Amino acid sequence: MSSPSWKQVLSGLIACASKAAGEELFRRAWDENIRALLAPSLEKERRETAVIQLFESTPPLLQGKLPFVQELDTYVVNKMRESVNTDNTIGWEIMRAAMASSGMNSGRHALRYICSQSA
Amino acid sequence: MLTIGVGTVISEATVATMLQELSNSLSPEEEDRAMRVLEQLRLVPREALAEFTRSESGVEFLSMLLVLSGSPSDEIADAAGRLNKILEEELSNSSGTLVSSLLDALLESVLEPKDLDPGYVMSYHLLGCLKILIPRQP
Repeated sequence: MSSPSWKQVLSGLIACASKAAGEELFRRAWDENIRALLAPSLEKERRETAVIQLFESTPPLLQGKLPFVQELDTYVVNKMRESVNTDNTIGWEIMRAAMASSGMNSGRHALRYICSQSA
Repeated sequence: MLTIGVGTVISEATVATMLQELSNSLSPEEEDRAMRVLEQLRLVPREALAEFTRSESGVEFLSMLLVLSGSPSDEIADAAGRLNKILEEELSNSSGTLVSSLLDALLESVLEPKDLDPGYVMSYHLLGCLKILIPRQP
């Protein structure tokens, strides 16, 4: 199974949200893609990279519209625990990306999003 | 409960869990781990750390930072001291809720010290925090 292209996935989700395609459709698309990303069949390194991309590329437009996905939260907490014990660099990166995407650095995310859209 | 942002990709409870576990991993006995965690905590957004400091676990976290800032390891002492300074700046904007919890913890540490040295350090630190905070209360 190949890694999901998160730029494509997010583009689709943004289109869903901006066209008011319906909350249920949006929720299903988000849930299904997160679960595909975290599926055990996906190669570990590709999953780690994809999770970071997910956090870093989620635009502020979608913050507040993203449904809670317990698997993603569990994954992030487990990665952080792993990093505390083994100093797993990618685990720390995931933790920081997750925190930064939690509405705290919305200015930076907004700027990055606008730049990516106008490129 | 943290109220970091309006919308989140991960839940606020998860952010709180991560910070709680990082805080629990700080121990003067485990220097390597403490140093790793301190380095990561410095990279966490200030707003998140400030929210965590205002939570029920905040006083314990601050007192551990003070204990670590007196570590015989210069590296740990410097890292803890820098983080503590950042948090003190954030605390200067804190609410009365924090003042109340700090007062409770201060009384507890003075009246029922579980360990003489950390208790003394904690009391000293909390007094410093209160000097900053109390004049700002309405």
